[in-house]
Amino acid sequence: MRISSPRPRSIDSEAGVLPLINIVFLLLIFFMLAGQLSASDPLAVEPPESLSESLPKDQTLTLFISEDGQMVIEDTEVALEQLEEEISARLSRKVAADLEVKADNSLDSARLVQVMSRLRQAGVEQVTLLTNSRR
Amino acid sequence: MSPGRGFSLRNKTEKRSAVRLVRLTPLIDIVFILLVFFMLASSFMDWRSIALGTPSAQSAAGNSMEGAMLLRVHEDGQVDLSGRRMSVEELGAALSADLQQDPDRRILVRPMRQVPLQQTVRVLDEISAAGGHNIALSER
Repeated sequence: MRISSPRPRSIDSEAGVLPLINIVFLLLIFFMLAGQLSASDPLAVEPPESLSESLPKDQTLTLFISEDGQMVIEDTEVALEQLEEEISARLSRKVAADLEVKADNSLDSARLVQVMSRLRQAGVEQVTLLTNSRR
Repeated sequence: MSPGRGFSLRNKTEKRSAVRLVRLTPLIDIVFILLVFFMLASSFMDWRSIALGTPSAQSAAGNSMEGAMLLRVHEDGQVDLSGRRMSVEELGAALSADLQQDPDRRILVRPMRQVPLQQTVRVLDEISAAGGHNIALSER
């Protein structure tokens, strides 16, 4: 009796751990396959939701606009006054002349229009507004 | 039973379970660390895009304004299509008749002050559902 006592205990502990390992493995595989690894944004931006079907292009210049109107382009903070020269300098250096805007969903739309008319002055005719798909 | 036999049996079971535990624990640790890494680092955002023309002072006064429809977005959730006030839900029906005649017709969206971006995007959604694709934001 004294000999057999450690045996069921070791079987018990293993039987308790195995389903845990199974589930952790499944979770791991799920997150590895389903999630996308990407660099985090320089500003906390909660995108607006839309029903748009078009997907964003890769390899573009991204302008971030936070809820309070703060703007960051490629890790550099810009004020509204500097935006025109910053954008034209960057677009002349880049091959792709595409600009995408990642703006917060509670940003004042009038502010976005203000920013976009500055972009027009910098020579940008078309911008892509990034949104989250609504399902 | 003899003391020697009992000792060897216990030693055997202890050895086996110890070997199993030594192999499993670092594996579990690493799998957990990987799991936490992927949970924190992966994003499940489903990004979409809306193409928008930038507003310009010249076009507002000049030729591209001609034949364009002006759509004001108000703070209370209503919109103003060429002076007619309506809710966002009615907008699609009002637009689609015009857009069937001329799908390339330019639509200028002018959000009023304090309208959150989400509301403007909602209006843009309605316009593209009604068939409009030449959309530009407009300055006041």
